[in-house]
Amino acid sequence: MSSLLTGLDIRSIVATALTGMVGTYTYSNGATETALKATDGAYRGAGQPWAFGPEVPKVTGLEVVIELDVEAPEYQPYMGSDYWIRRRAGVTLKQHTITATVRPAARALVKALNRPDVIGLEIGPRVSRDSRVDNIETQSFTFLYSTED
Amino acid sequence: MPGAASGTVLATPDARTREMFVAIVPNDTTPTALPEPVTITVNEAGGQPASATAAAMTIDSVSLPISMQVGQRLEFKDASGTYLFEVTAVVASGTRTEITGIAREGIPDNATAKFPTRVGLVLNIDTSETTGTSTFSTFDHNGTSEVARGEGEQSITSAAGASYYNAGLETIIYAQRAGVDVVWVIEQPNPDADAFSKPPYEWGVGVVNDVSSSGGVNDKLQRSLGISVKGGIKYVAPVKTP
Repeated sequence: MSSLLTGLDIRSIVATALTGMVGTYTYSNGATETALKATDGAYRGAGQPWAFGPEVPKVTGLEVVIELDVEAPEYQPYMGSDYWIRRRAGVTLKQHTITATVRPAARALVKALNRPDVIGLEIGPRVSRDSRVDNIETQSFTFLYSTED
Repeated sequence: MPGAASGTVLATPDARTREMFVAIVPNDTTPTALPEPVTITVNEAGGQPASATAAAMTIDSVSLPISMQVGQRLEFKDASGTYLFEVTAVVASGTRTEITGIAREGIPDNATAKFPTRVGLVLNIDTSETTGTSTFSTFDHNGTSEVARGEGEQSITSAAGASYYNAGLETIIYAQRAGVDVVWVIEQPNPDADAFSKPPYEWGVGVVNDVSSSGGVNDKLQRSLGISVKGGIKYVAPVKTP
């Protein structure tokens, strides 16, 4: 069953690929943490991004958001009780620093996700800054992985 | 689940309740009776160690319905995983306490397998049962031809996920490549589990004619399966609960 991944594996793959590139969340009391969060609470891992409840932290640098089940999972039943499940996860990169870009992180992420147990990788467009108001550069990725999780 | 016997509605059973089992048989032989699957349980203190060469493995005493042939794969399972066993020496039918083969990874004590081996990850089990006919005119046929019965043809087509641990599928692939016959058993939906303790079975001997594999880059790896039936499909009626 070595080809199966879990949500935690996905978080680990992304975090490892982007080591040294991820920016910082800063809360109103001065506390800081790495700007990498998973929208599924079970997979946030160490350093709860929402330790301060609904407060929206100030972000500097690259923010990484992992979303699990961005589409309904694929499910294939077989005769008897055999089956498989594939989930589609998403990663969004947001570059908050106006003089920087998501490109290095996007390259690293594609390399990390280009692996045999991750299939159907779809790379979204790099949405560039339009104005001083809309000053975040973003790029999203989605992919399928087989899981029992 | 009450079926047609105890209900008022004649319901169509779900195809998913069918399962297929296979075993290798010596060419041109047919078991004398339905080889109803039995459970084989590992009886090795500490489990059967992994080995790339053949070794004997002790099992709980079990009565094999047919002999176990070289090339048969067994899918042992326990709560933590699935383990493949490749039979390398013939085991005669009847009560046995040992089988010989290769366990490429260790098999835990008390892990169990079915023999004949269940084919797992099966997408469909389709049977074709046709009778060839020819029509001919008679002198005074009143517009209707006479029909003569020709040769019948029976086959099974299926498709299954191509996992290494899918021992039934691996057995079929071995049989195709080694040119040996298989006996196949299809467990049919139990018409009424309250009335019958054993479901009906269809079974027979056949030649594997297709084990083609397929799978694009985003697909699950799978194999199509084909078996040409030799000597006809046999039917065993369900057994009433005592």
